[in-house]
Amino acid sequence: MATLAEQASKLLDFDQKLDITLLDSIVGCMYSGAGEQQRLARDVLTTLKEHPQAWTRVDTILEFSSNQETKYYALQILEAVIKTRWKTLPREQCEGIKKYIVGLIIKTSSENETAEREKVYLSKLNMVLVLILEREWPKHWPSFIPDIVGASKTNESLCQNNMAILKLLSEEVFDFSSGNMTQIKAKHLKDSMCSEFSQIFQLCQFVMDNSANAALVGSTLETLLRFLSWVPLGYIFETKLITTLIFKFLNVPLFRNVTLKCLTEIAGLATGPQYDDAFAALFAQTMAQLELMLPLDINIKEAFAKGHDAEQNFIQNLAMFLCTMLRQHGPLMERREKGNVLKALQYLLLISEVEETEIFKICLEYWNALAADLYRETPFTIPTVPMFMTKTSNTGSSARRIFYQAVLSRLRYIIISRMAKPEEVLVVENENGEVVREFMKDTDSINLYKNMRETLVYLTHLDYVDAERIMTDKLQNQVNGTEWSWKNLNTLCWAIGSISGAMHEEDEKRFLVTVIKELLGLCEQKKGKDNKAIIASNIMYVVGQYPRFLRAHWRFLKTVVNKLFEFMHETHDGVQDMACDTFIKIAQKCRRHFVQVQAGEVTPFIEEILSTISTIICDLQPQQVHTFYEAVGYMISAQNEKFVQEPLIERYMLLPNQVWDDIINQATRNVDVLKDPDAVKQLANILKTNVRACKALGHPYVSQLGRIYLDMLNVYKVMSENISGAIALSGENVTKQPLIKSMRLVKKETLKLISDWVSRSNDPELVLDNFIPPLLNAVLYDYQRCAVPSAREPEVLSTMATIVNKLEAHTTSNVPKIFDAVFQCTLDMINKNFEEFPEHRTNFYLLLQSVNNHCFPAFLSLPPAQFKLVLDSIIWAFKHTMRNVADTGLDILYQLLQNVSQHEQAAQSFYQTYYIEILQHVFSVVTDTSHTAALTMHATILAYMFTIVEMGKVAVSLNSAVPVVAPENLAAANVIFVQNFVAEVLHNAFPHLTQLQIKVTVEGLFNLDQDITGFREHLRDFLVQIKEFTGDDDSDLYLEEREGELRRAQDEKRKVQMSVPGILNPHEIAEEMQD
Amino acid sequence: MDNLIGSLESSLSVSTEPCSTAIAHPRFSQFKSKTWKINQEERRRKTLENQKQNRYDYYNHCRRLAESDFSVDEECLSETQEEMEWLPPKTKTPRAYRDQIMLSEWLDEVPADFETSWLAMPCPVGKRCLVVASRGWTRVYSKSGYLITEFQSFLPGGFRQSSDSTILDCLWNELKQCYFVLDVLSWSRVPLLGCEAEFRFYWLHGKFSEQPEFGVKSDKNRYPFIPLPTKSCTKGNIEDLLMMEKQSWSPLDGLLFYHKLGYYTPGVSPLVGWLKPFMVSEILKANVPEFYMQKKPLSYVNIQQHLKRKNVKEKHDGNSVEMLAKE
Repeated sequence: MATLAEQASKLLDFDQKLDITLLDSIVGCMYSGAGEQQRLARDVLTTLKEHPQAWTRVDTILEFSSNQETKYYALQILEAVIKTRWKTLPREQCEGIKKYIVGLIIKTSSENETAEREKVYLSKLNMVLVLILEREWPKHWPSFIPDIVGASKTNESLCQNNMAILKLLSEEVFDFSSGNMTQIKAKHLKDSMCSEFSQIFQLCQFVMDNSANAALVGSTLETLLRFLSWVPLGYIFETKLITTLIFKFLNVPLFRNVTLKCLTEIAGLATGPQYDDAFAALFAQTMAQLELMLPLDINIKEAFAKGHDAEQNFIQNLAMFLCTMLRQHGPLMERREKGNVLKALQYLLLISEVEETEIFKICLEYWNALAADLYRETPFTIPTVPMFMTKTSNTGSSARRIFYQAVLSRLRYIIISRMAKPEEVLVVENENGEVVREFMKDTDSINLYKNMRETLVYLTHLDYVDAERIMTDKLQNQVNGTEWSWKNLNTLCWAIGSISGAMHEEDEKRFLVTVIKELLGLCEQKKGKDNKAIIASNIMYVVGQYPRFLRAHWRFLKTVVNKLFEFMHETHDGVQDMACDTFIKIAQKCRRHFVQVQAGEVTPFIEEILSTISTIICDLQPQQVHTFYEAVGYMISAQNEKFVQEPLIERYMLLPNQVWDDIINQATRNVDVLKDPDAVKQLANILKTNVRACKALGHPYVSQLGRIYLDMLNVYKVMSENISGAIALSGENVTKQPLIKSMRLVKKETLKLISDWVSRSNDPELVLDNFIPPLLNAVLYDYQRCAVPSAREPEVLSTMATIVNKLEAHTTSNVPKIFDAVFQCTLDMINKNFEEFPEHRTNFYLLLQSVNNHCFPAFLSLPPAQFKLVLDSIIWAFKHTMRNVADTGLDILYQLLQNVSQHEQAAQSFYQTYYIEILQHVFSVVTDTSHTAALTMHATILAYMFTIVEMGKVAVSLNSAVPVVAPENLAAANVIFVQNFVAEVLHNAFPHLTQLQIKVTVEGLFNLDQDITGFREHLRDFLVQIKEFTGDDDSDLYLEEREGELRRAQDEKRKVQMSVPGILNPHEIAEEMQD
Repeated sequence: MDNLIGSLESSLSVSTEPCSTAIAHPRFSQFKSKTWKINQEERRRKTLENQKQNRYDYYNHCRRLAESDFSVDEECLSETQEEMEWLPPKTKTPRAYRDQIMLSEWLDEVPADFETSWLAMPCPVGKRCLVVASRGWTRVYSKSGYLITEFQSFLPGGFRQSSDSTILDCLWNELKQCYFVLDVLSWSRVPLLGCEAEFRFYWLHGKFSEQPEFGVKSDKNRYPFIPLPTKSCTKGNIEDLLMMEKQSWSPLDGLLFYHKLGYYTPGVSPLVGWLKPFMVSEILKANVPEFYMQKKPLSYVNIQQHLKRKNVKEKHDGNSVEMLAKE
């Protein structure tokens, strides 16, 4: 091993001749070795790569090494030098490398066999060439386009690789330029490419017309595809390109995919009406060709299922083409190509049946747009005569609707047959070790459901009779068994449930009555608990989707709810969950009906529920009980009369309160009861029930909260002492024990309950007088004196943030107390590094943010040392790489700057002390690549800071060397000082930038400070420049041109400022403009 | 709409046991269910008959339950009749104890031999559970087979030093923090499932009176276990049960009625009946304290009133809504 290291050092000695065999063996070791040896090899190679002279070895390696991996490594060295230090190399060296690479590419690609064998190597060479081009073309290599076009004519293999190079170049310049080159440079390259495109185009055309080499033609089409989005339109529409594509290549299996993609790209172009004829012809001709290839009566679903990759891709590309064409040019084609439109729709229907979600999504997007468009022509209106009496569907009026009628009917059938799942429930174990069910919000499948639902709703509006007919037919097929399966039944019921509200109420009722009857019949007919459970779930799903129906039929609603109570005793898998989920859904939508006396009843139904609650929930699992309580809470929340509601709440919480009281009573006699695992578990459980009750009841929950509040805070304190005690006794590992976990859970649920209620409260005085003082005493004191940082609950911070956010300025007087308790001790937890205690970190800054937003005066009254601590912690925040923390930090800073400016006196001393410091820190993150995601916010803050200086809002001299400046010169002096300061900071940080680069950058920062987007892009350009050593030649940064643009921006800004009276200092306004 | 509500109430179900107490009492319900085609008396007779004819390996079933050993094939069980629906759990899953508890039917028709062949048991409010004391731990499972909790108790098999096993059918009363014992499936490895109810109760009470420490909370017996008394079903006894206020198990949720000859079978059995206290006055014509009568839900009507109301409704309901729905 020592020998390896020894030998390796030879590689780094640039006075010796390079030992290729040695390098090869080290590279080999790095790729196939293991352990220490491999690590060593990697280190050697990295050191070599970073050596400034490394690139001088590249040619030797490429020439003499026989190992592909070594060659690849050499190209990586070259790539690095081109990206960062190209401009600093002597010209002749550049020319040398350039010629060498070109020669190598020509050599490797000229022979088909070599090119094929060394494909990977060749494509890396191509990439290196493009990197060189980005720096050389057009200035140092004006003849590049003629060169490559000329060379292409020498042989087909070479030509094929040149196509690949042109494709790469197009992608680099047009697709990926943002953030990799400055805006102005990207523009120059684009312009060069467009102006010289005719030669490239001729080359492509020549190949397409004459070549019999399939691989070459394929590459040419691929390259052409990249060009289509940007080439001048004339090349596309005023040449024979389109017809060549359609008639020569579309029907050739080898080329049809890429050809169709080209046609899609063309179809998607936004042009004026002058090319309408061309589009119509393109559409008609393509359709004619398609019909020959793919007869309209083919079963695409089956063909797709059996097809190979290329065939499946063709179906997908076809969907893309048709959807793009019809979306972009729908009205035109409807006018001129009616027959072809119908054929295209026919294809799309067939493709929509393919069982591949991604393809279906493509079609769905179009169908959704079409249905929405047709609907908006004559939107839904409430007719004066009820629909069920007229018995006609509302398709009649529009000619377009008639045109699409048959297609839409088929589409309804397809969507109903493949409706997606409306909700996803995930069973997971949470951090407290409990198995819980989570409703997923934002998954692919749910988005698909939303899109399908929207489309189906439009389709139902367009012809509800047809929608109803299809659904009833399919339901019949469930009953008669022809389509019976669990999956089919679910799908159908999801579809039925998705169009709730789309029909007129009476139609909906009639439809629903039929559906429920059929489903009940089905439930009776099928044997076995599995079958019955599925059918019952579907009935309950459908019923739950139609709250309007439920609200209109009390006895039906009551029967459904009683049925759900019955299901809460059912032990078959999933039935209890289904019952609870449906119950809460119905409770939310029909809550009022349970607290009113309904026709035929003596008391409101809630009375009955409350008197039998223990029987109803006796077979439920704790989590289901919580759901049940939340549901009942929604009902009670609908009772607006306080004197009726309060007794209801009391009875509602009776069971949990009895157990609670019992434990509390025991604990008063012997506090060790609160160390009993069962008691702690029960408390956590009761608190969870309370959390759900609070969530449902909102502010009125206060009567229950008041009942348990002080006891709860005492329990909190005891739990906290128990936990600290346990940690002190047996170390931090004890927190993993189930008992300690449950104790923390009690604390967390307590905090959650309090912050949930405060955020729902509507009486700040009440909260402030009765609930905050005991909370601060118990919880804050506990947080502060907790000896073990990890035992502090991060939720304490978020609870305080919630309180401040809700009570706003009312809490200002409490802020010093909150800060005293949490600020220093939390800061000590998070100022050692950027990672530990992530939750405390996040919540700490959220608290700071809420105080800054609502109780800013509290900041101003802090002693200077403490204020500095706050500001330092904010600066600390935005240096985090944890996105949420950094973002919060930037938000706080921006808001703080704005808040400060509202307090004239404080503002000036703030600027004097901190302005320059803040500026410096913000620049440090702007230029740090790990913070680029926050660039917009950085730009916003910097722009704001420059603006206040420019506008003279800073009334003190920022230059500590010149503390006193005459007021009329102050703004100008500060601007100059800040500009020089920024220039100096940048110059020190990036000595490789030229003076002109820095000058242009700094000027731009001021000129663009009223235009955040421009400002941000300007910063982004700057970030591109700092990656690269420019050397003396900065010509391709087009700095003068950039200066000109910035000057125009400056003029523009001045004009805007002048248009607002008073914006400009009277001293700045030219004489002639003053009267 | 009435039809729809009727069939919703009667035909929407997952389990199909007739007279299950999860749904409304047939006489107090607004709709007659179609599932009660065979009358209760007849079903009782059949169950007793089946019980005699079928020999089931109660010993093994009990052992499996007690030792959570569910690996044995069920070949030996193939002869059991469908009505018994009597399959032990197949795999050792967390829910292996699902559906093992014997549940009651509503007492709809009062049996002819009610006073001589049936026993009444007072039943407090609580969460029904199966208490399995085995291998040194006492574990509590819900009706649907979820493990609710585990602790140490004096029950044979329920504490660390014990190698016995015992299974009880209990009610957990959260408020009183105790377990009321309804029935016994197995005691100290003696399977009692295949024994008649009267014998099981005799055994249970014998064991509990021998060892009163079962009923006392202590370090080694985390919660008290309190067996519920049984009495023969005379009107006087039933009125007494309802009257007694000072008992640990009052107030009552209802009364259970066990047929003296019934075995312990999982699921709903027609040989166990159930009534809420307020129903007792109407079904058994016994006196019920006012305290219980007040608990009668207001929407519950007695049979006569209910029938009257229904007739009135049908007469003047040419129900317009219904017509539309039929259209």
